[in-house]
Amino acid sequence: MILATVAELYDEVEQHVGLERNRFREESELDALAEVFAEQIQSTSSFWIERKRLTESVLKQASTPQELERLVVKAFGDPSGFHGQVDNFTVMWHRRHVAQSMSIAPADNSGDGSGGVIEMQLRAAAISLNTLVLRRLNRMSIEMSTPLARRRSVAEEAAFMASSDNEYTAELPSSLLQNDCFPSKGWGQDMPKTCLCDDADLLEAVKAVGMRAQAAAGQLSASQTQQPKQGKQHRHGGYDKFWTCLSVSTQTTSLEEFRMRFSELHPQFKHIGLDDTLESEALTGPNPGDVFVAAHIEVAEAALASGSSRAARQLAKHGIPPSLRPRLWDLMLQSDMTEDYSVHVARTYTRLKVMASRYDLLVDRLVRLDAKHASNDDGYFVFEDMVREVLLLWTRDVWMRRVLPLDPTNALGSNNNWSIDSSPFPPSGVLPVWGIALYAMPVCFLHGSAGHAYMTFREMYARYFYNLHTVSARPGGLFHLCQTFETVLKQADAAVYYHMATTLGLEPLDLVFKWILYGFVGVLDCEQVLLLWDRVLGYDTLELLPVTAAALVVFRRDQILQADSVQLVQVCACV
Amino acid sequence: MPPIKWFTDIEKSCLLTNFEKRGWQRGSEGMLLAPDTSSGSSSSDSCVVANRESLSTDDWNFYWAAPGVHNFRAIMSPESGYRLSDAQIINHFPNHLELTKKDLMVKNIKRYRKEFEKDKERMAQTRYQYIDFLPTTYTLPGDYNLFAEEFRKNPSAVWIMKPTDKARGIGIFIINKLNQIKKWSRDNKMQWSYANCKDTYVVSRYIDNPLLIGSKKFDLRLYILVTSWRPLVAYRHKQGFSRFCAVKYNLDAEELDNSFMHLTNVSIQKYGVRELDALPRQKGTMLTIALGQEDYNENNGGKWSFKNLVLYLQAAHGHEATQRLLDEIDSILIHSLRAVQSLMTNDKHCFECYGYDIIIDADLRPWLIEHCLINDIINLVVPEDLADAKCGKGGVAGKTKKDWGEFVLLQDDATSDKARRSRTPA
Repeated sequence: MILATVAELYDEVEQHVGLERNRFREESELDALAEVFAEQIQSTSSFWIERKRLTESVLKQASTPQELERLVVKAFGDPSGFHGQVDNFTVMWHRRHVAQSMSIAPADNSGDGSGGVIEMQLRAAAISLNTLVLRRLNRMSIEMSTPLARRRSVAEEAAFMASSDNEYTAELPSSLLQNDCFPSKGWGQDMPKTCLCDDADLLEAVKAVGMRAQAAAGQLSASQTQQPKQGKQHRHGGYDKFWTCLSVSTQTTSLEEFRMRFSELHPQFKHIGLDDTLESEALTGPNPGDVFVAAHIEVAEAALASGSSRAARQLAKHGIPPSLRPRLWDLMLQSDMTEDYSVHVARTYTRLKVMASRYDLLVDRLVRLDAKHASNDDGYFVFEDMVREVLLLWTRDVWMRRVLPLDPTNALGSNNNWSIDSSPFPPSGVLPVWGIALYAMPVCFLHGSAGHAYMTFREMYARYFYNLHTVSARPGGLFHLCQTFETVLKQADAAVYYHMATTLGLEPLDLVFKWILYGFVGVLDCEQVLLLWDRVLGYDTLELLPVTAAALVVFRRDQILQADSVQLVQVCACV
Repeated sequence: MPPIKWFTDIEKSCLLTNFEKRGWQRGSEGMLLAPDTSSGSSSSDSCVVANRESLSTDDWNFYWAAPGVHNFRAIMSPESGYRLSDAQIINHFPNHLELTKKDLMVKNIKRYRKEFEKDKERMAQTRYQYIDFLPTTYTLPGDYNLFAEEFRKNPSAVWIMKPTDKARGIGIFIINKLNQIKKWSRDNKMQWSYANCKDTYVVSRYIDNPLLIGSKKFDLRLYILVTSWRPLVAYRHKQGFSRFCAVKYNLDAEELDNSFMHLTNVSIQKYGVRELDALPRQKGTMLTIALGQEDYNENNGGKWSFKNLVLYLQAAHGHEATQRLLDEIDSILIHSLRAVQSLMTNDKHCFECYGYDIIIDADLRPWLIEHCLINDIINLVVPEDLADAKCGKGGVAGKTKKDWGEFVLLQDDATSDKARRSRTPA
């Protein structure tokens, strides 16, 4: 009888998983995929606990096999039952593993494998950027005469744990000045930075995608017509490069398509972050009854009670009231099917903390330096210590290596110098980009404890932040986002684009690149950043960032059109 | 309408730029100028007479005066025979000390609280029920015996000593043993009697479980503008902020004298070393500074906007708890004003801005720490139209809400009285 129940449950799970996926796959593939999912689900502790619970409760009530079946189906399909968890898990698993392997298509559907070419070009750009980063890392190690990773002595380990805040400021080079610019804000900050890869490197890498092939073609034509070689600033001189600073064009979403996809963002709907403030201003008296907010909170509570990440997503498209944001973000992000989330958080946190105390990594210095950015911002300085702690845990987390679509040919970890106790360096498999701390800052607004903040951060990093600073062929990768920005701005307001690109000689992408790269952290007010990220989570796409960037430029169009120098534009575009 | 003319006896750039921004003109002070003694020769007699005439016609609408300076006293003193015209307002009430001097404030609020709690009917009427917001406080040396008794009841408690008439954290220290007070008094070579004691202190129960954010202690600074005491009309400024200590908080006994951890005053956090070193050292009790200034960040001065604080509290503690906290804070603001309402000299030519220091404890309960007088941030605390309104357009309350700048109405008895009267015609 127990066996029957278990079989029933398997079937349910597999059937459900199958339904989940049938939008994406052929029938034959579907079964295989369902099997993979079922296997994954069975490997979670939550599955076994639920199975035990279900088995016990159902066996008590059921007297005949028919009734048993009915009860199992009913218990499974219960709104707060296991069904919801399986649902969340499959959506999440799919997002993490299947969607990451997709790649963007070329602009013209000419077929003939130009998609493969673009993919290769992006891959080449990523590799050359990676080579640069690794070269810098090695140089840094030599200059600081510090190994990439070092096992701490027992005494050092104890000292690290005792200093509750992980403050080893003595280890820091003094090269970072206190009045240094905030990475997403500063303009023309030419001072030397201690970093492996900064926003300028990334912008260059994005612009360089496909450049080599083009340069070869250009040289050929140049030598044929005996024209003098063009200078660097004229490399976009051709007419086809007039409307973009990127060399390759891929398919992007048009404004009309965005209007369809983001239809919930239409002003006809009420939004948290807009209508709630209007409402409280319109109503006078000491205690304005926030009608809209109250209704919104009610819906949000219902979504939380149902435990459905889909419901949470739908709600997030209209913004999330600050008091419910931590729980709703968790619902959208965390679906590891653990029996008790708090226990899971505490366990992960302790494990990483021990890792942090045991090893001294070269990248720790970079991360600590980066966390100092927080102290320069009047919104985030409160969280400087928390940001540092979150980042130190992040460098240690092997979970990253598992879920991130890391390039297997990536040299990280294959070299013996970079491993310690036979585990590769750094354990997370990713090296910190300049301004990494900015990604962690808004998350600190959500949680009082570093453990919970870290769990939110790592999911956000795996899904979004990593793509923001990685050149890849994935939709939602940095290159794709940059191209999306250009397309949308051109379509929305060609006059502004023209004015900036020709009259002022400022590529619009140069202006907004940091906004996109850092997800508007430090560009917008703290609360606005969270409201924007609500929507990014809700739609589960980073394409909202370039759209927002274009919207901001259009919003400032009058000032930009009046501006007669690049500096003026930079001032008036900075909100 | 002619432009508004301003005058001030504090030449601070933030004031001057603010006046300029409003398009106001510098006025002049009339009869309060010191008589010109250098030109006492007989040949210039006629000139002196002419001067006198011009002096009597002082020419300002808006006076921003430093508190306690003779000019302000001279204007407000009844003996001066000086009368303000309808088109003149000044930034102080004559006896603000009732609210801003620490011992008087404590006395007034204690008395008010007793009355309020007795008056069951009035208690039921208001939604501001939170009245027990003052940490247990005694005035020293006067209440020493009461304090000693309370101290023995809670031997583990920590207390904070503050001079009654100093600001910016000067002279403050923390004690956890009774003999620390005795030692302090010996060091001061003071006999504890009213007769020869100039420096009175208040001693308050130290809020030793403050709410920590990022492991750091902070307090809340809010601004209130009072334009009338009877009826009470008061505004709260939206842009309060929280001030953070530079180092992480812990209540270890050996850290009790680390003022960077315990005192949130920006001047301590910023100038801690210099300013406190300048004070006479008192053995054992004075603040000793272990840290340098590198923890102080020039960019933000440890100040976090009230808005961000609320955003964080909403997420970390939920909507209800945050809303209750905000209501209780409003309750503190209103009750502390009510406590002195009947004592203040009401003068339609006066307005005043007060800063409130509030500490939130780990149970999200706000405590009133102190009041102070604000005299240097006019751009922040004065609504754009305040002067216009008082200078003959008939009261700020008559204006639409939009014109209040960043101020929101906290309490307006004038309007509500009127409304009540119109409802119940006598």
